Amino acid sequence: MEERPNILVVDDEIGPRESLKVLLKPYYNVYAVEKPTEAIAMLEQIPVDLVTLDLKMPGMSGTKVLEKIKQRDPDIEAIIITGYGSMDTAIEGLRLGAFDYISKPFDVNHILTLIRRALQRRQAKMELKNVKSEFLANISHELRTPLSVVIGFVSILLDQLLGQLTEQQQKILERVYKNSGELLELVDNVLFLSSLNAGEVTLAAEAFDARAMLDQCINRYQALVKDKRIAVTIDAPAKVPSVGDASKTARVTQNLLHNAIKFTPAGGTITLKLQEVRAEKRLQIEIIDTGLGMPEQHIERLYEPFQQMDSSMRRQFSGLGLGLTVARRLTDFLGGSLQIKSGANVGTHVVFSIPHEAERANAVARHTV
Amino acid sequence: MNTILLVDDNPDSREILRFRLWDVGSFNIAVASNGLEALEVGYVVRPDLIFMDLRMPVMDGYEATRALHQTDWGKKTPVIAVTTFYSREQWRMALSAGCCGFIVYPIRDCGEVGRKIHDVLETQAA
Repeated sequence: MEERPNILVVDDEIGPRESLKVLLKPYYNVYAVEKPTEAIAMLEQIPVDLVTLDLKMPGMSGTKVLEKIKQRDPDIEAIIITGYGSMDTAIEGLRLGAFDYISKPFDVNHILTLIRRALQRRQAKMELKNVKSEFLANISHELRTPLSVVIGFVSILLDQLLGQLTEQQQKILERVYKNSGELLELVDNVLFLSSLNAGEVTLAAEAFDARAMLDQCINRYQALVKDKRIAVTIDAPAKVPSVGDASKTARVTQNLLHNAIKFTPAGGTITLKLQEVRAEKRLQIEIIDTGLGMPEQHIERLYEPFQQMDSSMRRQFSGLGLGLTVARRLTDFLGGSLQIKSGANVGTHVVFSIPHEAERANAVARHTV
Repeated sequence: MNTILLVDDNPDSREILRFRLWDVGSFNIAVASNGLEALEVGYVVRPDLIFMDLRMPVMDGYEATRALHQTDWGKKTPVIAVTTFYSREQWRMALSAGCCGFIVYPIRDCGEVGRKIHDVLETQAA
């Protein structure tokens, strides 16, 4: 049997709220709340498919709630209920992605039809999403498998499991290893951006040690750092327990670090700082390099989503790959902030901070991945 | 000597894992190229540990792990999932299918493979 869709009724007036509840109960699971803030809290608890929304409510304005709902999950359908036939707010609602609007007092059949059609649209969107996600999984598999084979075999040769290498062979294989590693990173970033765009990415909350995460990120680029004789200093406590999305935090850090390494000339230094800003409940990671730096107007442009970059930009930043775009998008996703301070020839100072809960972190058991 | 069964539809990926295992220690190594074959080969060789690819034709790694743990001979055999890309969803599904570990390709050194084997066989012995 198909699951019944979940509908959330948001209305500050008891009359319409109760009548909608009675009306919809036979067909749907109905949840009703009075205040916009309660609506947002409700979304955390139940997988809502559709919201009916009175736009004239005290406190947060109806359009604001709709904006928040759509931010959380753009696939939740919304039907606007306008109290005083105010066209402006209805239009604003539609602009924000509402399915349709209806004026009070509403016709029973009309609203039932609207809800049915909105849920059909949602169903179609979810099916499309599944197709997209299956496609992305296939592409990931197809791209990563052969690359992993290259990297896997080259590292077997480099580890001299099949016999000693001459110095020249070693050098060449190291280049193959480095370049295939870069390609893998690029592929991962492209795939990650695609899944982010497809709405495929979810936020996790797990206990992790931010210091250990930082060390792992550095380890990943050990060879590159050694190659360029870059001195990496770490300024961080021995343990920084936190709760959050460890793998995404690591991905941002990796991308930022990789860029710092790429743009720091041989013999330069990179300083990594990790600290808890307890008062603000933030975890802050700073990456300071002695690289070439970037002119300010370029930094501004880097904040824009990848799709808006024009071709001249892409040429200028070809060396940057997608690292910063991914870092930026992911930071937004994590609810954090990313600041890049830079100037030509003074190096770059990146401050990346995300929401952080230390107390709970101590209580949650070790998470294995 | 412990027997390890490598299950992957890509012969190159199997080969890489086999080279790494040779370096980690002495094992009898058996191979299979899909889940169904894994059950057939497993019945004969009775592996102490299985590396199981999750995406395979004929029978995927999830189904094979579930089926394995239904058999008399394989109900306690630890399974480490191997996959070409990590996703939390995949990890969750692998766990609920009964896998006890997870390795994401590419394999760059012996360290991770060695540690996983050590952990699993240790727990098994205890």
